[in-house]
Amino acid sequence: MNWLTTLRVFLSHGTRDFFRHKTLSLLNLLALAVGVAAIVAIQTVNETALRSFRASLDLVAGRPDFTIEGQGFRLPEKLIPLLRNDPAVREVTPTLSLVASLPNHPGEFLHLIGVDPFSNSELVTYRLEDALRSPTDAIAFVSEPNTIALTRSLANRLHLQPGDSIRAVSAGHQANLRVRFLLEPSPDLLGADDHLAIADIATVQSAFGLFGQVDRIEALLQPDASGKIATARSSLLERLKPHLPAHARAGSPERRGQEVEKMLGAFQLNLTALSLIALVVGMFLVTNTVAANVVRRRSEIGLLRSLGLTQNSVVFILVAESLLLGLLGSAIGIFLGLQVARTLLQSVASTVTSHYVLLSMQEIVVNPWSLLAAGLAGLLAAALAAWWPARQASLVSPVDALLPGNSADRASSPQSHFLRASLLCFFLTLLFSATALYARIPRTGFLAALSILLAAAFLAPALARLLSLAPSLPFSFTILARSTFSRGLHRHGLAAAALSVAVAMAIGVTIMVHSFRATVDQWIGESIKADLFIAPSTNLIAGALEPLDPQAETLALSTPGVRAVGTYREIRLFLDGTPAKLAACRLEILRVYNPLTFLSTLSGDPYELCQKGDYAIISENFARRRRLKAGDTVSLPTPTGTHPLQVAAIFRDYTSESGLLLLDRSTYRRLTQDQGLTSLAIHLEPGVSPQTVGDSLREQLRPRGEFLVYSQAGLRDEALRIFDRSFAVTALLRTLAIAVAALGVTLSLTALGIERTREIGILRATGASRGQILRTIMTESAYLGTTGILLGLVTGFAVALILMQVINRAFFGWTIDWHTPFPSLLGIVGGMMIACLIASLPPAWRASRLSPAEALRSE
Amino acid sequence: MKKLLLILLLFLATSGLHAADPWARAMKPWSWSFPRDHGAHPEFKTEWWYLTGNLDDENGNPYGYELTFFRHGLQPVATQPDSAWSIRDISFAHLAITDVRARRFLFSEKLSRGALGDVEISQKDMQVRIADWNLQRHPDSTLTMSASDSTTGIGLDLSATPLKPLTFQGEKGLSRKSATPGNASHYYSFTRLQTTGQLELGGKKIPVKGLSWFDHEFSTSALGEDQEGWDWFCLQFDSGEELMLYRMRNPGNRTDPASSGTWIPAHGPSLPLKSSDFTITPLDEWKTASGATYPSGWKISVSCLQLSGEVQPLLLDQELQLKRTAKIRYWEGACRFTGARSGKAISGRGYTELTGYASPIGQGMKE
Repeated sequence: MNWLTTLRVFLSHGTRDFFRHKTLSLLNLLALAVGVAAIVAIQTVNETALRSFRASLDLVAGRPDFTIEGQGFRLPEKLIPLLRNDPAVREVTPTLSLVASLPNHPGEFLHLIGVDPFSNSELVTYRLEDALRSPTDAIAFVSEPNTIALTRSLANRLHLQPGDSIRAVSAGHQANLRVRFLLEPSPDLLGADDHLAIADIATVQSAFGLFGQVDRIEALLQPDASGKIATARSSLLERLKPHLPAHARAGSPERRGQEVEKMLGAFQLNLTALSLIALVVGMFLVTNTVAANVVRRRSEIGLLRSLGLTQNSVVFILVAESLLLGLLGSAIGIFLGLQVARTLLQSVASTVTSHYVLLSMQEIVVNPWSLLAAGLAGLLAAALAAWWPARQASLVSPVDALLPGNSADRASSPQSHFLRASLLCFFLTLLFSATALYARIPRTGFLAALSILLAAAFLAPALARLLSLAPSLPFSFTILARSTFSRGLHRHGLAAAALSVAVAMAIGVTIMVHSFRATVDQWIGESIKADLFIAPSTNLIAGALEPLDPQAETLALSTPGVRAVGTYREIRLFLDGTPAKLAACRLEILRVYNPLTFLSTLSGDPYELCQKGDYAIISENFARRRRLKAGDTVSLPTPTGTHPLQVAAIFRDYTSESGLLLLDRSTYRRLTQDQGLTSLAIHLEPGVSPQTVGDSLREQLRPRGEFLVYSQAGLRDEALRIFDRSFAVTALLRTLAIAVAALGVTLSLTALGIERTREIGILRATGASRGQILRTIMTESAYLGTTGILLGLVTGFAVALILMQVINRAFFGWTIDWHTPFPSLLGIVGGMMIACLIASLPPAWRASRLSPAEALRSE
Repeated sequence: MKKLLLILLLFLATSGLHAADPWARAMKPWSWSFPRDHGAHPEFKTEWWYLTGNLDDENGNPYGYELTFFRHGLQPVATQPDSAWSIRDISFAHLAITDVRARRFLFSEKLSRGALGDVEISQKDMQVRIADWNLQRHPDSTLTMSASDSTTGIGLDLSATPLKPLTFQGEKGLSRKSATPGNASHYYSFTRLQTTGQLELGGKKIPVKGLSWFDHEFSTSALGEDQEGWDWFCLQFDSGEELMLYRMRNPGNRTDPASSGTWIPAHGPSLPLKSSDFTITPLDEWKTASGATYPSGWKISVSCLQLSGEVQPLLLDQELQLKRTAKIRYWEGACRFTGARSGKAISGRGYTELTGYASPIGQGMKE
């Protein structure tokens, strides 16, 4: 029989079967689709984030050969002549950027970039559309104060016409910016943040009082004889080095992009790993279903075999059928995934912005290659999942196969192999945990999580057998259920494995998120002591670190009822190539009103040390990641030079993923010359209502721009809101896994029902009532559920342990106190059990409706 | 942004149309005072220092060069003065070298807003610098200039000593460009400068010597409303005499009656020429790759001098295609002259400038 004929057989049988068993096929399809959708959604969101970040960077910076950036602090523009007069430099251009709030458009902001149109012509990646189409307009861009270019989409959103003015506030400076140009990004930069606005650098300096300052200096270099610029770059760097301030970072521009992408990498890997686990769960299900299909169609396969179809052809047909299913499932999954990506976009953008870099995304960017990859993953999963049961089916002799309802017990798998595999996976878990923690290969943490899930999956059949050996309740249907369960292990083992993987993942993630949230909540309770907090609204909306109006502190101090005002300044920078947060507080206020919880200190009072000398307090995760202890030294590059700071104490902090370096304000200002403040913490006299003072401050601050005034509870809620948003995607994936697992139970039981047609017929013929059949099958389902859920529960704790103690430690270094969320766990366990029972209803119902005559027709 | 600059330069001048004219205009002859007037005149909108020359290397191979510095006032008083990036003038410079034997024409340009000391133009003497391109007059009257561009591999480092005192063009330096009063510039030249130094081509330094021509011109509105451009000639004859002619072109390629010229004899006072004194007849055309057509080769006759002959470019393609200073194109090239004066053969070399054929260059100078 040649392959063409096989194909014809496949087409006629496969498709007929598909339509005959619509429900089952659809369930199958759905399982695969959900798995693929999870991957597509996560990949698309990740790619959109990266693309948007890159496009925004390119839009602002073009693609220069060389950049100098001030990290944390701006650069003096006086550096520009140094480059301009260097023989290696062909062109040099500055940018000066800031985030300004728009008081008349709450919730919106401008990411305003000052450029020099005279020197950046070779670097720009946008066009300025002359919005008024009047000749003098072009001169206005460089000569008329407050003239800016906006993106068309933002102009539309804010209902701004060319020529309109818009009030913008940044660091206490207010400007009435006039929209005279529209910004048209070049097509390859679609996806760039539409909050970007462009103005002449003189305009930005003048409107916001930033004279003499720039953020980035970009240069095009003279290539050497072979057309390369690497040599020119390194020699330029050598010449510049003695003149650069300590906080300047100079070199290849790709570096910044790479650093941020590396930073985002951990976050994205996290999501990708979770989405892959969803596919693995989906794969278990497909295997399960194909196996069920095979059983259902034994007689058909037997017939085809007796008509001369070879074993290989049977495998081919079944795998091809599964592939067809995979194709449809992938298509649906891709469609669903893109919808899910759209809904996740804002939550991911906000999360990235509050933890890493300013990111704003309006529409998803679809990468056809990743869709193809996700589709192929779906197909591969379908093919792989079908292969094993297909092979089993092909081994059955035509004679056996043609006997209807013949049990498939002989196909049950060798238990000892599974046990060995389980043991191996468990050791792999330990190994990968060790490499993640001690060999500093954080990514292997995810392999550890996957290994423990697989260990559980391989253990499922054995556990099922164990359970089936336990004494059952003394009812006829329970005894019967136990015995059928034990005989159906070949099928139940797989379903229980899928169930346990899903439950373990759900429980692991639930415990981790709950513990983390409880830890953070408790920490917030201990560390947020002030009654009111004030910050510029852009810092919340856009995740910016724009300084507060300097008047705000004076204003707060002079408000009646205010006892003390703590200040907070925050800067994001890179220390030794890894991101970190630098913060400055008035420690004398902190120590009295809001003492820190120190994990270790130098001898002496850490507050006093920091107030009088070059000392710093570092966060626990900063210490862990950099392997520092009290008394060690950290080098801090600032505009005034690199300053060695001695670690006075280590404290617990959850505000920064990358770790926090805390200085006293006086030290900070002395070392950095930065007078800015990011937020204020206001402590009130006893008995004074925070509401009253908050309202009064709000009223006084209103003319100065857009501010957020939080109460203690408000800030706590806000912090937890950010926390929850950060885990929104995780929560969604968890739900998906649970849904897929519930589908799996239904599939498994439906398949069993069909497999048992003859058996059920006999039972009915020997006097079993419909109710008894129904109860038997539901009890069997309970056995299956118990196996999977019990195993999943235990494994879930292990997964949680890995997430907190391995992955978290390796990537972030936070301390997460273990908090078991008993109600949630009970909910998951109970919910899954109920889901199993409900899932067993349709197959149980169908089995109970079988007429004994039909079931036993061939006996 | 390139488009922006294009608009910027094409329409530079219109902002001056507001009620009180903030810019000075060339209405009557300037009261000249040197060396001060070698320097900048910021009260006028447009100003340039223009050097062209024909040079030979040690083997007698001919080269041409152009080095020009422009100052263009955007606004009489800079806005946003507290920023180092605040703009009053924009400055640009063009460098072109013609390698006649290799039939190569290479050019480069600079553009700057002058922030952080990028541009220095003195108001006391001829001290002009844009980035590292510069032109200086020294106490002994010698001009030194240097400019180079590593991307195109061209550069020059020359010193030029005037062999004659300066010549005022037009009426005591008031050079009219159209009938409208004020459409004129203040304009003087050094018509014969002994030049030595080196050119740089493809990284190779070539010692050269020869003759240069220098113009300094400042104005606010040098072009009439509908004028399309100009054809300008400077010729240095082997006999020690020079001729400058320009033809302002009105629509339909008609010669504006304000076109004029100057004859500079070997010794003694120069002779102003009216448009009726001379004719310039194109002999041929040269089409650029982009489709523009320039006249190429001219028959020139100045009846009152009994001078007539042909000006032929040393190379057909001497068109500057500028990108940075908007997409401006003009032809500025080394030429030779052969003809007769009073029946006696006369020859010489010089430079020709053709504007407004490939891009509307002149509009920035209209008001």
